[in-house]
Amino acid sequence: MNDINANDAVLVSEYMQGREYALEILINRHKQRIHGFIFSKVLDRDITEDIFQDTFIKVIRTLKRGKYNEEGKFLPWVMRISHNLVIDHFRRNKRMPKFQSRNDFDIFDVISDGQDSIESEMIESQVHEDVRRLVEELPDDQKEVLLMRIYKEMSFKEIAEITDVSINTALGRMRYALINLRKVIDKHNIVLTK
Amino acid sequence: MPKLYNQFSSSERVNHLGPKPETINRILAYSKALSVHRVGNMTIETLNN
Repeated sequence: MNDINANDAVLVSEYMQGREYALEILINRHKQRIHGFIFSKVLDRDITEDIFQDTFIKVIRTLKRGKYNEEGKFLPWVMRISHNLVIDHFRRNKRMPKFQSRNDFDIFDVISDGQDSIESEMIESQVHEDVRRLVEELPDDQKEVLLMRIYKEMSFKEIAEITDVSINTALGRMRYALINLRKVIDKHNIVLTK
Repeated sequence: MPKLYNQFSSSERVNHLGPKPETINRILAYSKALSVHRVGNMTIETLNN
């Protein structure tokens, strides 16, 4: 019998008996279909190559171990292996976040050299200035507590002692200071971001 | 100068979309290198260079 025309079951049997050429015939016979199937799922040429290779490594190991028992159903069996490897691929990717490379990818979009640019320094300075002006609009008792807490990093116990009020009163003034600041920010649609 | 995709014939396109020859060569080389031996209940795989 001409081996190129032999059916899959015969070729599998030949291969399991040590005739390596049978595998080459099987791969060449089914490569487009298996490769196309994998590519249709992962849509990446390199990943398709990897999964195609891993599929046949599994096929080879199973056949050489004599564990193949699906006579006449070689292609569906191989497709099932590749399908399982595609699922494994997606599971791995879900667990491991990765950067998708794009043509317009710029490494400086995601890393910085730790130094602020002149532009971001100017923006930060502007934001601080806006916040100072907003704080100036607060009632004196609230402004006092907020400045001590935020700018001087004093505890509420210290603030209470210095301003001669209870800690609860100091906490209440701080709370109202923040509520009032938010109201002004919302009312005037002020954007305080760097 | 490499051919553009639309300059390939349909059969060339089909081949172009299949696995790379080097992938198939790697698979065949792995197959030739892999030996499986049974020792009692154990199955031992060896890869020969």
